[in-house]
Amino acid sequence: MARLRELENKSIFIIREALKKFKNPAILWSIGKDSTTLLWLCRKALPMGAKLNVIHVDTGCKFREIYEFRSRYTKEWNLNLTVAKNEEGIKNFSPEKSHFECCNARKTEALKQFVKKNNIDALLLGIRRDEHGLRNKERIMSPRDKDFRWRFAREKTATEEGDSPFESMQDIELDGWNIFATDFGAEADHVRVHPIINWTEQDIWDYIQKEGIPVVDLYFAKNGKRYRSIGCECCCSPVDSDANTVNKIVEELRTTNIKERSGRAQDKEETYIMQKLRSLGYM
Amino acid sequence: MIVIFAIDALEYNLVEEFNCENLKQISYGKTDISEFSEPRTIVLWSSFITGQNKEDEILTKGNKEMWDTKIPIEQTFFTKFKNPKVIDLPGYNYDKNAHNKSRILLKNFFETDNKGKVLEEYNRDAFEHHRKVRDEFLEAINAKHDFVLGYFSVADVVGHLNFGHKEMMQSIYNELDDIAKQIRQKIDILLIISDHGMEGVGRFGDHSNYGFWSLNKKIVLKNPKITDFAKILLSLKNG
Repeated sequence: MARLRELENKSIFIIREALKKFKNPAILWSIGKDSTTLLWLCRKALPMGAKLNVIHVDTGCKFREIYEFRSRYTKEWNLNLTVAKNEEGIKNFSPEKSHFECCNARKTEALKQFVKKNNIDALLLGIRRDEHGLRNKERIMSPRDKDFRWRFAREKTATEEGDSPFESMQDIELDGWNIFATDFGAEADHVRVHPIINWTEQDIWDYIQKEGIPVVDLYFAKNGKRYRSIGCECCCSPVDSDANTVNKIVEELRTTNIKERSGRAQDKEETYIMQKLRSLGYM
Repeated sequence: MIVIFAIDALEYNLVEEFNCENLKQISYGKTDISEFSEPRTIVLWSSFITGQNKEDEILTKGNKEMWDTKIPIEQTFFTKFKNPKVIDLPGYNYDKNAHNKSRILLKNFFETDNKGKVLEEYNRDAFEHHRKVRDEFLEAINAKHDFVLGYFSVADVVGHLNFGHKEMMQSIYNELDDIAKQIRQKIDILLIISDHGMEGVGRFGDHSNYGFWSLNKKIVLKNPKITDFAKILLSLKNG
């Protein structure tokens, strides 16, 4: 429990730092367990009565249970919720053709439009390092350009040493001292803030158990199957499990070897490589 | 005789990790390819053989079309040799059709549910091609050429889908190290060079932003550019 207290304190510190440094921050709520935990932490971090912009990107094919959960807790928690939707993308793209293109059109594009239209300068996200390799490289404060890319490196000058030809323009985060750079100059369109980046899947469920945080019913086993990770209905499949309560999930995670995102068809690494190989002319 | 053992995606860190002594030779290090916007195979090899940055020229052809690039010998440093032999080099005499099967299997891999089977066939095809090039390369070195360049794609092709599979990558590096061992005693100047390296993305591999070089001579080069080697080789040739 000491670990959870430490994680909670740290995350609340990061959230408060972001709220103080940015003019128009918003939290991205996918309604999965991680972003719901982040939302829970944000509600604890906020001063009494203050409200935070909450965005839910609706891809048009989320599980019914997700929509029900969203309606219920938007009311119960009195959230200032905006639903972002790219109608054009929903009309023109489907996962049968390409998971990546579908995700890009329905999710990324919808978020881009929202950020631009509302002048959002910071997005709080519930990503975690242990989800997969690409997220491992993330920082707590991560600047993005208008195309959502991290482009904050420059070529080294002749006198600078080291193997890499590039030098990061992002200041070092002195995580242990709680010092985070938040000003990245005019090139940064907005900053991604990752308050729970250092939490593991086990930490999340331990915390859900400790705090009694409500989560979507899909996480609990029915007929020997449950979802470990949720998103669009068409692109998620359940894993074998008998864990039908939070306590049982906490226990299950201590022994399982199955990867958290094993049920997600839209595998980010595979998509990244596929796209890269295509751009290099391999395919 | 001058020989270039041109290895696509030979990764500096893996050469170190697997301690490939023969690939490292006497002098070795990373190449600086930061002048290029992306580490693209065709662009890098074309720039290597001409000693000039060919990026703009090649990119105008298009992503797929660039693989048909065939730079005339007059624009390369190969003209400085009497009887040069170049095997399968992208940007020069690379036969896109000979690599078609690999491209089709790569596409299939991302589209099929039976990934294991396609991957097995994809790897097998890459190794088969590798053996063919290896035999041709070793034969050329024993023939009467004053210059031989052999291009090996196996580390790149297999690496893209298997870089996270350490044992498989180690067996490829051991094989390449073994080829270097076989040839290094027979020739005057051996340059081992890659266009770029490779970094892991989960089980997959992506091009890294530097390449690898090594020479069987004592020479100090600090982050040389891939376009520097045309001149370096010719100055070594001329003593």
